[in-house]
Amino acid sequence: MRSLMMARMAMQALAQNKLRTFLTTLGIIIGVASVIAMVALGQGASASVQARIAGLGVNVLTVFGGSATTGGARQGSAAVESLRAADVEAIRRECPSVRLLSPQLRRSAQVIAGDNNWATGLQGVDTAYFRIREWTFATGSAFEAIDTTVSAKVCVLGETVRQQLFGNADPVGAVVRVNQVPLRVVGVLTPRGQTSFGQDQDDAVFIPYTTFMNRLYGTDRFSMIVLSAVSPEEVDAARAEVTSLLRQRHHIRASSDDDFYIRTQQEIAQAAEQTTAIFTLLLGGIAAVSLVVGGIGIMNIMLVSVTERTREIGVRLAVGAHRRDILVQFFTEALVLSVLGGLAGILVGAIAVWVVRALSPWAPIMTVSSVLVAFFCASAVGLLSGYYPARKAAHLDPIEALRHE
Amino acid sequence: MALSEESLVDARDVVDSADSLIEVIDLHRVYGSGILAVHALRGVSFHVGHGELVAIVGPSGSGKTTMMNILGCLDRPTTGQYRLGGRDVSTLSADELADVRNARIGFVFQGFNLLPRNSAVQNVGLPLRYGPPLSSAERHRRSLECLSVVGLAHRASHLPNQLSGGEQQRVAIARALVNNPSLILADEPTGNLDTRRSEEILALFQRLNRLKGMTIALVTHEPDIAACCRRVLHFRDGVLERDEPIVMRSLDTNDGDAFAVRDPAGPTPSRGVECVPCVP
Repeated sequence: MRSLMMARMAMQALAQNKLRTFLTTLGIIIGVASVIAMVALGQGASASVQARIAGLGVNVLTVFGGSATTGGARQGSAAVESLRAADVEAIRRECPSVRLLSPQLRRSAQVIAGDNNWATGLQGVDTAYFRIREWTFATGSAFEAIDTTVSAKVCVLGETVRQQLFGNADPVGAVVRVNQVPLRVVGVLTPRGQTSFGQDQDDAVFIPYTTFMNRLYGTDRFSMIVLSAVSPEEVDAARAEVTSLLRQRHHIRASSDDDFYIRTQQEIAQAAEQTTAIFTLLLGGIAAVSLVVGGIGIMNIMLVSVTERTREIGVRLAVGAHRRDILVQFFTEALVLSVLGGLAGILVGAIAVWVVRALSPWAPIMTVSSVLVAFFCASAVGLLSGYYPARKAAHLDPIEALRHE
Repeated sequence: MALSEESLVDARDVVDSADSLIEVIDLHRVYGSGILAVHALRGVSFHVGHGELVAIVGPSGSGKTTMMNILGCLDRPTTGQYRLGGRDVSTLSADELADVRNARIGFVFQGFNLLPRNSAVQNVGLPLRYGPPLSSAERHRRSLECLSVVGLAHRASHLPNQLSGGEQQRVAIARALVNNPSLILADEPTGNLDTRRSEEILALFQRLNRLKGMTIALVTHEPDIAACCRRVLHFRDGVLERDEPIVMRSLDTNDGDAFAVRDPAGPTPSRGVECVPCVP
């Protein structure tokens, strides 16, 4: 009852000095708003990276040809094309967890169409590759399985290549040339844009890997095999099966390293997830600093206020206030400041998130937990920074306080 | 309803059930300890009866401020006894002292000490917030009543900085009256005022004393002001040097039994305002 009265007096004091109340809460407002906005941005970024990685196929594994040691110098990965067509057949036969697979070979090439040409990445793949990567066609279709068998002179264009060579025309049925070999265009892939690492996925030409190996470059090994597991849960099983099969086929002794290595999209997804989690944490941390600064602002103003109102405190004590009454009054002031600041901060943060969503392609995600955490941090900061000044006020000596100039 | 002088005094005697309002017996107050100890009061004894108008005078360092702080229950004696209304208050806790100050003592300070962002009526009502719970309407009613006593009812909603010095001090006096205290302690109440305003304030004290039987103790170093009281306690070097009754220089020109405060700033003289401040 009595505390309620003291709390009401605290509210009156705040209402009587609106500008100072506003400026004091500004620190908390900015702190809470920035925590909410930054965490929302981080989570939005994280979600968009996750979505892109999921677009690559979460059940995809890539087998890379291993590194080799030449005269003591270890080469990087895929330096040696240790994978052969027979390996592909063996995996297809003996690994039950693998659903689809496709060899992949890459080379830079100059692609010519009429009097246009364009340097791009030429990729030799199986027709299953497009299903593994879950890649659909804007026009036309993938080449057939029979095209692989007969090393057919056909190709599929990425959107970037199509644009460079044909402008707005539909290239299906047209012929492009690579290394003097004419290739008939059978399909154009739907644009995918850049990978999360900034590589243009649409700047590529895909041809049957047999055509790549037999007609263009005369090689019998390849640097990569792309696989898809029967389900995302079977990725680890698929990896184990492929590893043991390839070790056996490549006659690798138990004590030796693999001459290949396998990377899964899940690993990439996890790495990306970690990166964005750290990113979110970092942004949140920077924002939290401003929340602490806001708390120091409250403490500062409350201390100034106690000094400035020393005589007032003296008068209140003289006319019968208990120390507790003074404590409650000043503590309530600090608490109200931080709670008001927290509420206003949530509002400002929500507006900031809304503006970012409207103006940028990023979609920030505002979570209830970030709002609650920011609000309770603000309240806690207010309590901590309000307690010391309130205690100081309550323990003033009335005689000294009345004499204070 | 205007109460007669007798009935008020009688009521007080019943409440306090003691002969004297203030009994000070062999009071000592020592600040610090050891060789740094300062003896502000060295064995002071005196009584003040109900309805007295007393001046406490002395040069600076005489111990009169310390005496005032102890009488006001803001400070406690090192040794000796201080009985207020028959109750020994020398050994009370800080919160108990706060309650005694709230219920029994009204303070008037040299620097007015009004809360700057509160209106006159809010300032007057401040002690009521720390007393027994009252509705805000009741607080407002009592505060307004006491503002009428000092002739400032028409200034109720003004802020202190919109009032003259004399008016501010009258608001402070209304604040001192609001809990119907046994004792009003005024510390250099005219120190910040010119002669004319000073005399107005002193006249107000004399009227409160004469018509309501208020016990008033006034700390001052000016003989002119002390001369407006009925009894003077002279302090020097921490002892009560002289305690003498004097013939009061009356400034209270109004012979009636009602308050009339000359209020040059006000639209009409507030003569005849009824005042029954704060009888619980």
